[in-house]
Amino acid sequence: MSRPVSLVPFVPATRMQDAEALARAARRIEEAAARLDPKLELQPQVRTDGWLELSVRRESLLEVARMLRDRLGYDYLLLLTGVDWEDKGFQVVLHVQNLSSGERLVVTVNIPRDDPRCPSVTSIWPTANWHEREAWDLLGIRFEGHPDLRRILMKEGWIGHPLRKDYQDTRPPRERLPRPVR
Amino acid sequence: MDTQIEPRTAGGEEIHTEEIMVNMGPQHPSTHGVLRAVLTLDGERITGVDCDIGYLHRCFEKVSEKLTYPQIIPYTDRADYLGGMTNELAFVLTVEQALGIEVPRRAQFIRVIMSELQRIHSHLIWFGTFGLDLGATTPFLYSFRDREVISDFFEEVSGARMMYNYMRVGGVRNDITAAWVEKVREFLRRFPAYLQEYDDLLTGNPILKARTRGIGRIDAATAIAYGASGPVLRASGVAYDLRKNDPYLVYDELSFEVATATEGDVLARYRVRLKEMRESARLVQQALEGLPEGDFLGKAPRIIKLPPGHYYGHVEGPRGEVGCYIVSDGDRRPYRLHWRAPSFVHLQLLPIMAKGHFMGDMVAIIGSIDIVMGEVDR
Repeated sequence: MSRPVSLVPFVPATRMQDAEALARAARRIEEAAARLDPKLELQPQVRTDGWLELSVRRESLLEVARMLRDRLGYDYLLLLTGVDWEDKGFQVVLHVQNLSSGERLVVTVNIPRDDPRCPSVTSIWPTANWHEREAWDLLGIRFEGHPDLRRILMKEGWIGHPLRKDYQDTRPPRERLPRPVR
Repeated sequence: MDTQIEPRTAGGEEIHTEEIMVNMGPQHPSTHGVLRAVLTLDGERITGVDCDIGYLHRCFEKVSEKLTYPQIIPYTDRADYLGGMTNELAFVLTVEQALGIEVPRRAQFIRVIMSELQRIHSHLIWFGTFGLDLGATTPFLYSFRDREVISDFFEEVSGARMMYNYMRVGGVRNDITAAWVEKVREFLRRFPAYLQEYDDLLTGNPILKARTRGIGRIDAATAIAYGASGPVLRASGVAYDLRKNDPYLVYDELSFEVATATEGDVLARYRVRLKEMRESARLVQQALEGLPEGDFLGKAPRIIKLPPGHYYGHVEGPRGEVGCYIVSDGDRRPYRLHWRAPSFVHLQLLPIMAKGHFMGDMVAIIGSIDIVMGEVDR
């Protein structure tokens, strides 16, 4: 067998904790966002663990996500999940990465608790499909534009969304059978 | 049923045909656990696959919110039960990074040894069961013979053969002894001959080639778009390996090659995994040679509280990128914990890989993704 050729250039070790690299990545995002729509006012922050964090308004998530993939090369969605912040509503968290440069970014979207809707990013990163189904199943965040938003881990017809902090099990208590007498 | 079926004729007359649905699993032995795949078939050809998962859902993430950080470590073993060491590692690395703990060098080397032995262990199970899926019974016996040896190594250091609970915040639970090191060395001396045996038994087999070449093909762009990682991504020609691309522990001091292939089919994934075993053995060898003296468990706070914030840590597990996302509100328990399981992500590729192939190929395709349902359902 001939030696396999790498289709994507091999990435040297990228230390994103490096402050200079972080600042550079942040600047690229700010510039691209300003070109896209000056009203977006995107300001990447450095998160506690050294990832860049970008807080996006719900209405502009789709256009920002498309910009991130097409203009800045964030082609790899690591994970999409949600956090229940009780009174402060939900937060949808996306971890994305640029595979060829090693740049990494967290995109967060805050959504109100009484209206848990969020645009689906499956059209941009197809892998979001199951992640979004899981977030819908366990947290009850409704992803609009998702091709097939069904429960995924819990069975069909389950009541409630178990990962919510205020989740109550609605099933009747299980009847305890008496211990068999030997 | 969105695909159009060509009308078939018999004796000049059009006959009625329709797609049929076939349930594969959840008790099918080749679905490696409890995966139920609902296949839509046009004759023998697969036109659609719908995966039904969740049979093994154990509320890992919900339970974790009620546990302190050290208590979560044994639970991570049960997510991917064939990759316990790397799962624990993903978790403790994330916690250590949040606390800013320095881990002793000896502990880092021990962790590398355990991760790589775990990779060999997991790939051996995959090799055996993949052969079984395709009807080759003998390789299974050989690979399980060798996997037993690694299980014994793990049992000696941790007391368990599968659910190790070995990693600790700040290091590992038990030190490794000189006698243990010697046993591993002895195993590594014999291992190349074992790999040769596997090659002789299965790799050159014309039936294996016929059943895997060109089957379940995905290209690099699809693999990236669907978030594939590990051997699935590398078999499609993307040399992405966290041990090189975001080195943790002491991987940047050790030399190894990233196994890749370009075909992206079942055979390519098979080759990548076999090559990875070879590289892992090299890594263990180097780590054993460089193993420094010192502490195996560093200083960590007695009560572990993470500063409020979000933390993501990842390692290269046997199946791909294992990620751990922790949200802390400053308590002893995580406010939210999310597990990025590579099998969960890879299973989404199944419909794309299987479309257009025969139903019999489905078994080979599922085997080549190397899913662990414990990790898919968590």
